[in-house]
Amino acid sequence: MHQYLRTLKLAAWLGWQLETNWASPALFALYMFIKPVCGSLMLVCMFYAARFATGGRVPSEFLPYLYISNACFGLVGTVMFGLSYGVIRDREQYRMLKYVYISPAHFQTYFVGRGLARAAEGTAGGVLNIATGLLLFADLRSAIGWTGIAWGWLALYLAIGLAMLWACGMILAAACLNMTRNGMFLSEGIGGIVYLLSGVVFPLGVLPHWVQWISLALPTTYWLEGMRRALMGPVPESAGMLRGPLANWENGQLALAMAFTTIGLVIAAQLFWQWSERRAWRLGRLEENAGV
Amino acid sequence: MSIEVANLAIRQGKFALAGISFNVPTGQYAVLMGKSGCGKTTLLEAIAGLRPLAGGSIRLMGREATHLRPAERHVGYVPQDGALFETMTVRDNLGFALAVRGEQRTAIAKRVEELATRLEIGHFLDRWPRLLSGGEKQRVALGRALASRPPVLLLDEPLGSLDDDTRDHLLGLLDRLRQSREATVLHVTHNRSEAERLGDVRLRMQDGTLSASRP
Repeated sequence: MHQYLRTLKLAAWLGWQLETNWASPALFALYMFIKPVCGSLMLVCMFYAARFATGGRVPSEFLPYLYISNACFGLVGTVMFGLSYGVIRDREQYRMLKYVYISPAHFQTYFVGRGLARAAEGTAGGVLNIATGLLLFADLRSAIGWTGIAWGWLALYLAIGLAMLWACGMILAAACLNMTRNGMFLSEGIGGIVYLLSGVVFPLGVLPHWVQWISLALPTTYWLEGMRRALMGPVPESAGMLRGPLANWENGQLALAMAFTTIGLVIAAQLFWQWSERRAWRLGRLEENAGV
Repeated sequence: MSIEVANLAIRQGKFALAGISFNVPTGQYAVLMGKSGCGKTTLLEAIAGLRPLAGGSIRLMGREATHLRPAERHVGYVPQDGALFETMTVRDNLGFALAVRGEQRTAIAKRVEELATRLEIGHFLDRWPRLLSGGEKQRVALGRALASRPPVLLLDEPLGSLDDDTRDHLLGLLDRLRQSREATVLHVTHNRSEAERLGDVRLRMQDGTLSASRP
């Protein structure tokens, strides 16, 4: 156990150094603030443009929905794709993957540690993003409000969500171990699909019926629904556009569904990682790279 | 015997090695020679645990190692390009394996200083690898491999890309390592003068077979 923790600590520190790229702490803090906030502000501009273009038919509740979803999605990006990004970067950029494999560091734990650094970046970015939204937009202030936050549910959704995102990330990273040329495309492609279909920008209710089924098969859809609810409460009846297939679920139902899915994903991630690591070793994939 | 390889077979795509057997006694310095592409690095990586075997067995320090994971074999490995962690200083690179193995900070610092003196790298312990020359990188890579006092050390053309002066200097360091007998070494090279100066045991790979000789 101690060996895993030591590997985790060293890998997290190494990951942090890679993420910060030797920038001064102040400069990096600025970057952590600007990057997610600019992403959210772009969506805010799109919201106002859509509202103007439709003569006000886009409900005002859509702004907090959009803003919170996007801020939370930062964590999906960093935790879920951070792990596979670590595999790709170590093989392609640093050419160290096979040497990490023969080092005394536990291979899987090493990538969890690398991912931790990105998760910390994502969490800080998400918090800063929401704080900025609260400062700038009255709609967001009235949607959240300190009394409106269900702190217990928020903690539960965050805890289950982190385990779930970690498991999804391990599955992706395991796939990348064996994809020497297309790993980045897999990671970025799935990132785009998850962003589009998890209800970040487009509420499930406005998607075609068959697309909704795909959305409902993505664990991130449930997690984002839970996070929005914990922060802003259930979607009001008046905002029909935002009420999707999960609108009538109780918090308990949502948490249970997520918990069971997460258990399944964690088991699948462990099995798939072990198989994938062995296969990558057998086929020499730990050192094969695209030569870029 | 420290390194015992019996009837080893390796297949990598169209490339194959078969029937490779040799022994290196404890504390001896073996050099493995052969033309480029004959499979020297593949053999070394198989001993380190990086390549799957199609047949045969490997024993390290009297222990069956054929199916052990690389980290469980406790071998030091110096690849051709040094392969240092670019985001760690030289000091952290040297201490990495010790930190993962749970050594105390004071013990790590002491060992790093010891290696720095021995390998003459003390003056750049706090530099980043990207600021080092080829010879300096190789000395750090050697130090990192020696840090955890492995009983078996595998060197893959550690002097391959160095200029003559740097090569002579590093050759001297390797010669001192040979004389210390602290590890059993298998050193891959295609340079005859290196083999003559360092090799207690000389192994030559040719046409998929391996022959051994002593000076």
